Amino acid sequence: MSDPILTLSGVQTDIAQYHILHGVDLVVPRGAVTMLLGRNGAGKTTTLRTIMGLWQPHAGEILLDGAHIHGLTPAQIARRGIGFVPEDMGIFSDLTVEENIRLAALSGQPIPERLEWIFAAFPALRTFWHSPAGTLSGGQKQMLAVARAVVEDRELYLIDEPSKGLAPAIVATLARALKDLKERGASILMVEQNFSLARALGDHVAVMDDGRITWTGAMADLAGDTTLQERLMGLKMESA
Amino acid sequence: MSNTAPSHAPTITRLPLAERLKPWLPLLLVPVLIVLGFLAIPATSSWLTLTVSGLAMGMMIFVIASGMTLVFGLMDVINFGHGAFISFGAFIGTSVLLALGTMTGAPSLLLNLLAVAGAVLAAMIVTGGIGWAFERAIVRPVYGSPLKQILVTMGGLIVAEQLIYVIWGGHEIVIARPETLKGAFTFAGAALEKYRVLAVAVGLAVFTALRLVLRRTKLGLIVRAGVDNPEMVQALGYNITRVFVGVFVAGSALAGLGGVMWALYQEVITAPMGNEIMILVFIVVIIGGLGSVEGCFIGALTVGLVQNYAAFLEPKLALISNIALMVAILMWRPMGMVPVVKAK
Repeated sequence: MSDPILTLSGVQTDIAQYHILHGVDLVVPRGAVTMLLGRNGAGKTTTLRTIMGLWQPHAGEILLDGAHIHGLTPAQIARRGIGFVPEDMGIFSDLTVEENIRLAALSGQPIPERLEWIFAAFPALRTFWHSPAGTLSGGQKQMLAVARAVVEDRELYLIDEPSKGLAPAIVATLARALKDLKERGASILMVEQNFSLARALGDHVAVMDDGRITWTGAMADLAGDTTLQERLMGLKMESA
Repeated sequence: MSNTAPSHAPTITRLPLAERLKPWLPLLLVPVLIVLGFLAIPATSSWLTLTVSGLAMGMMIFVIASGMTLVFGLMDVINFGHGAFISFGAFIGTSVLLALGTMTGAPSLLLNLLAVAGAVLAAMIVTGGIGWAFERAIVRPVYGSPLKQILVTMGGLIVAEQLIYVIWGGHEIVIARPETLKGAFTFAGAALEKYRVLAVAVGLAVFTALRLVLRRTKLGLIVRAGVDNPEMVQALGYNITRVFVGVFVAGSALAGLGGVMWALYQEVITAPMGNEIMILVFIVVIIGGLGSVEGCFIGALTVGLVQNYAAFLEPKLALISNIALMVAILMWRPMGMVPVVKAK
């Protein structure tokens, strides 16, 4: 495994009285796509939100490119170079598509070359450029959420279930865009329930259960072993 | 990056005309009210006087309420202490105006306006500072806890009122308008108070400035996004707490400006005056749509016009006119006239 962009050691997170993460140990390699898989309620989203600083861990440490980021605010973590696509997409409904994108460009205005790539990957965003984002369909909102994260280069992208509830054609569009991002050498940690998409994009896999990482390895190893898939995630149907 | 071909073509479905016009309907409320007033009030001169009076009152309430609606929209903070900034603004502005008695008493528009500007500046700086301290000491510990917010901000309001008694005494203070802002001028047979016309101009200027900041600047973009989804604004790299403190301070300063305007409107000030106006402020913030500056503007003008028309047509009705207006508008639009979509 190449040098890590992100390392989690013994991370524990509570939400109110619930103990969600029980000591997560995870290494995310640089320039690769790491898929975080697991059943519902395993702690995948909590892991991403903890990395992002939206929930503070009460134990453990998180290092981004060798520097501690736990205890920092989400704004400070974002400015250290993490792009985040949350599970609920986090679209600003009252802002136009253009304003959503402009807000994500911390340097001011989006780079024209990057904007052209976004328009080529997601033509709907050009069509609805001046429309309120709240009027977009679910798939278009997801495209906007991804576009917002990639409008500038980031050290690491955290993407939470981009295919959730979307039609296959839109999932295919998103998959092409994410594959393109991967081919540019981006480091991505992605939560995904759709195993076909995970298999197509992922280089590495970490499987979670009950707030812990229970298995890590290469995607090729997991994809080629249906027994392992079934044991780790109950993916009997998916592996067929 | 290579270009990726889309596998599905985006389409735009044109909504029916009625659907497209729906969001803009509240904009028609103020002109419709003015036309209804024209039809209901027999004398055109009375209608014109009442209309300007209603608009002036509405503009002052807007100035006071605009900061409060943004504070609520950004952080879901119900600040019952907002009235304290109005009272403090009125007392500080009045103190400055009384100290500049030679300027306010001179028959010179320039000197009078300079005195008023000085009073407004002092009131806004001090109430902005009080707002900063209020946010740090009282509001910040109770983020996310609405019941505690109500209790501590009410407590803050009471303490602030008592401080006014300590500093300025328990008696009411009479403040005369500057010499050239006294009286009225005649327009189309109607007597229009000079001060009310100035209040309309100031209210319009504040609304225009707020609109420009919110719609044309990056800061405005962050504030509007923060009203929608503060968590995501942070995840994009913006310090929402700092933005919130800025909005809280600006909102307090605007309440201070509104306090000075209200003091010159009523020509008498008392410590609980801010608290008394808060009923109208709450009605405006609720019917406008929590967090919406545009809704707050329309709501304030509507409240001002309804109160003035009702007081003329049926004085007893004026007592319940604004509550009835709030009920009617909430039955029409339960989320207010210009609802702000919040991610939850």
